[in-house]
Amino acid sequence: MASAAQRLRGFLRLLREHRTLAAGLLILTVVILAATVGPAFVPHGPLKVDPEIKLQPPSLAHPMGTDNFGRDILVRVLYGIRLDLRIAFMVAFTALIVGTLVGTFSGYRGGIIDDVVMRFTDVLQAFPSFVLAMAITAMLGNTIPNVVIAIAISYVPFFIRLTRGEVLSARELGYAEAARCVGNPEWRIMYLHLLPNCLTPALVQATLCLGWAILDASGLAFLGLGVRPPTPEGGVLVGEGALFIISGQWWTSVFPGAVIVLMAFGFNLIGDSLRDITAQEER
Amino acid sequence: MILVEKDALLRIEGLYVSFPGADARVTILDNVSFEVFGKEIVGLVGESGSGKTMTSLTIMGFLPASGRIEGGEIWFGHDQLLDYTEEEMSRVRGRKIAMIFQSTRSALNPLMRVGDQVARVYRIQRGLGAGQAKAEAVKALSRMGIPDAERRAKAYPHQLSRGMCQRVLIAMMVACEPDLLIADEPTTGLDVTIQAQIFELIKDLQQATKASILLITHDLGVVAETCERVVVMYAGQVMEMATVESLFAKPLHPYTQRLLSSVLRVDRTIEMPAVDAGLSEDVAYSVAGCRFAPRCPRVLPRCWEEHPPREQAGPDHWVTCHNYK
Repeated sequence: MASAAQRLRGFLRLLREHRTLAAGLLILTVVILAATVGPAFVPHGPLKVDPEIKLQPPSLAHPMGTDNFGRDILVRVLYGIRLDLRIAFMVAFTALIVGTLVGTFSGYRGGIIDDVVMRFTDVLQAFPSFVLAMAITAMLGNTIPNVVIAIAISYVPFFIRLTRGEVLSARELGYAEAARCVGNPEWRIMYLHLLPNCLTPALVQATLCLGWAILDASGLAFLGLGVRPPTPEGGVLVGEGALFIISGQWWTSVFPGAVIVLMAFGFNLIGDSLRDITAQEER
Repeated sequence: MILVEKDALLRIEGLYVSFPGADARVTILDNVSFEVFGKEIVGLVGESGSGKTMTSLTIMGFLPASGRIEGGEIWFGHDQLLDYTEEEMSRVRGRKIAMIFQSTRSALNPLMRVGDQVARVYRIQRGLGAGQAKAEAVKALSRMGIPDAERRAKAYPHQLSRGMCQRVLIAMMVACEPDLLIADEPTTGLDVTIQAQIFELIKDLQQATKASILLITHDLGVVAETCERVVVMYAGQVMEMATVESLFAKPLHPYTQRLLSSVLRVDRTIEMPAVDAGLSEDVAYSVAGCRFAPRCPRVLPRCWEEHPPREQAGPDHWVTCHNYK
């Protein structure tokens, strides 16, 4: 058994070998740290309106400037990161759970059940995932839980397909049959033997989905289909600021936008390097 | 002693199984019949593709989805296994029939400690509690000749050698206390000394548990040393079935004769039988009668058309051939 010190050393070596992973983790650590402790250092509330100082350019008192209601953009961005991260994690978690459970079942059972599930994912994947999420929020109404559900539904097919594929090949490997042979009930073979062994690609996909979910959630909010103003959220902030870009107040949109991009970039770096690492292990 | 009058533990009668081929379905098991009696080790021998593994998968109810049972019966005691639903089969598996697989390491779940995998069987099959099952699992592992079983039980499959993994798997299957244990080439990929140890282990277990064992192998030496009776298969048909002594002393079927003469021996000069050029397996599978006909040195015209009946040629010696005399 590896001791804690050995594990730490192993992890550090992994970071040295995979610079992109290190970069992604660094970006996200900074962003998450800022979102959690940052607001404590800023003397303004995210919703505090002050008409005296509206549309001020970045200054020492307001490092990202203020918006048309005189609200501090920095603090709104920090709160926005919190909400976006929360949405992203809920989306990835929901899609991961539902997708892997359904994918395992479908792959293990095969036959008609598998055909039906696969055609269903075909239908979902026929739409661009963002358009699908738009349609679902428009149908369900734009509250935060509905935004999570809508985006999660659009991601579920990836997880179903990935897990199903893994299960299809693992099913023939022997341990599933050996487990069947000693009288394990089917649910136990599926969810205790096969699923844990088929989880790796889905976990990598979940990391990538965190980044996409941030982009999708902001996108929905920008279009007015997701989180609604005045709630501070990345897309809402960009949307609010968009009106003033033309008149020269660039800071209203650029800072929130940059932070969204940074977060998505961080998750993608991590996801991509995890994919490389797991692919290497398989070889 | 006449075999048919005894009550068989496992009786396969006229089993036909087909798989989709290039243009038509290929009958992969063609009228397979044999018996396994209580407390005996039966060897099922034949070359690759002769249907040995397919037979065992059919018994277990593990036939791949594309396979179809076209006819026949599999009796286990007084139960017809082919009539069983998947749920009923899952109660037979383990408790009554267990199987040791070919690929040793992959038959263990890579993410579970081996001790837990064995303990799981005690919990399912005997309804033991977690602690008790764990203690039984360690005991079972040490019975399998695993030294330091307490510590090895905490290992994951990748931390153990292939031979060790095979012992763990056998421990799992024996923990079920089945009446019939099917061992499908249990030593593929193990080196020769470990192979010998595994076969010793299987023999000892059979003595201790009084289970019957159906040992699937292509190694005639193993059969001679381990088994009491042998079933010889070729291209999905049973050619001959006899006690080990009788079969090795007086093989009757031309196929068995050639099979035995293919075993290398120091006291005999090698006479390579002429390779039957241009004869692929496909030819054999398309023959309506005896599938060995295309390669048989004593083939008669009727062999091509008529499937020979199973004939008793001696006490405990059965042969499926028109021209064995």
